[in-house]
Amino acid sequence: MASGLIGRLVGTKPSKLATAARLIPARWTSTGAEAETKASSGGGRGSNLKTFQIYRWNPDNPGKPELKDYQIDLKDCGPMVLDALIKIKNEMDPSLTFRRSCREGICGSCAMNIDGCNGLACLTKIQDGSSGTTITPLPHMFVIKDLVVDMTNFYNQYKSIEPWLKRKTPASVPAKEILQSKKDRAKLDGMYECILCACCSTSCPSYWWNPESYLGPAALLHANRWISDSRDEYTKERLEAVDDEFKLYRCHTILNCARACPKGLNPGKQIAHIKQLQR
Amino acid sequence: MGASKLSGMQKQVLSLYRGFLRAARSRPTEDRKRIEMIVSTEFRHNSKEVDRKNFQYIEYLLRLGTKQLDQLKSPDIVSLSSIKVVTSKT
Repeated sequence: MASGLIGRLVGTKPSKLATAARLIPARWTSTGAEAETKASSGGGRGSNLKTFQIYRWNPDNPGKPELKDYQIDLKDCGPMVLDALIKIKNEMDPSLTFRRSCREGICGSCAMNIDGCNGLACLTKIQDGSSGTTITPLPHMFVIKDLVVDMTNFYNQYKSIEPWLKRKTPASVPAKEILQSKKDRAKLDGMYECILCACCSTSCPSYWWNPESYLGPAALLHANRWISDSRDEYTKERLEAVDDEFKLYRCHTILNCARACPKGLNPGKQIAHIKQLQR
Repeated sequence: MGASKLSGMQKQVLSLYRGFLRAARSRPTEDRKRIEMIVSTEFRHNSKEVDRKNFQYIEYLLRLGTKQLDQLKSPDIVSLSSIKVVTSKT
């Protein structure tokens, strides 16, 4: 990006300013100057090339999906997989399509399968070494284009557990917050952090085989979050709503969900808590 | 007499087409004709262009069509229109 700006400055300004302009990127960032030298040397001096195999499928020219190879110089790229994807999209193939937003692991948009494990592209470091990296969309999800998958079923399942506070009696002090002790608030830790990235649900084999009927670890984690909330008064109804052969009991404690979660949560544990409450 | 046994996917496509025509029926005549025209040209175009064996693409189109049908059924939606886009095969 910086090298592009340098090129424009050098092209338009007179030569006097051009030398000054060439000095500026050296002050901005060191990588800008390095990019210049790398471009001139042709990537020969100490370049660290890595091959990325990325799943591609275009609905406008539909054929068979394929894994396309892209070579990236790791010296010229940020540490995370998302940096590599953005670099490929900017410099090599603008048609590469993927979701991304916060680039810091809080939005959950860039969830994808990297080297066989589900995770967020913005939080997964590129593995150093000559072996290639395979990037595919979240497994067993319908693909809209390249790495973008259809999340509507996942969101509908989240909606179905009614993830909002429900009360039968009005608050003790009307128009003020419903009070909750620190201990009760601590019960929600490990559940409220969920960013709905779908890494856990799409890593669960039980969810692969029954995506429409089984709610999946993410929705069940949120179901437990509302069941465990001391301010919520519909606990019994919530438990009854989930108490179903398919909605809850398709979970066989495979625990792929806990392994896949990029935020370090344990949906399997929360599901076990719901099962325990069911009597 | 008639066509041989239809496959599951063919039945899905036909039921989607029927769903669109039924949704069009609940609209005023002007809109109804426009919807029927758009839907029938789209389906006929795809039936000619798309390879019968290309299951992934047909399923993709079915899902897209079902979503559009759900939108059309909602009472908030006023009408349906289409634009012709020429995609350059680069």
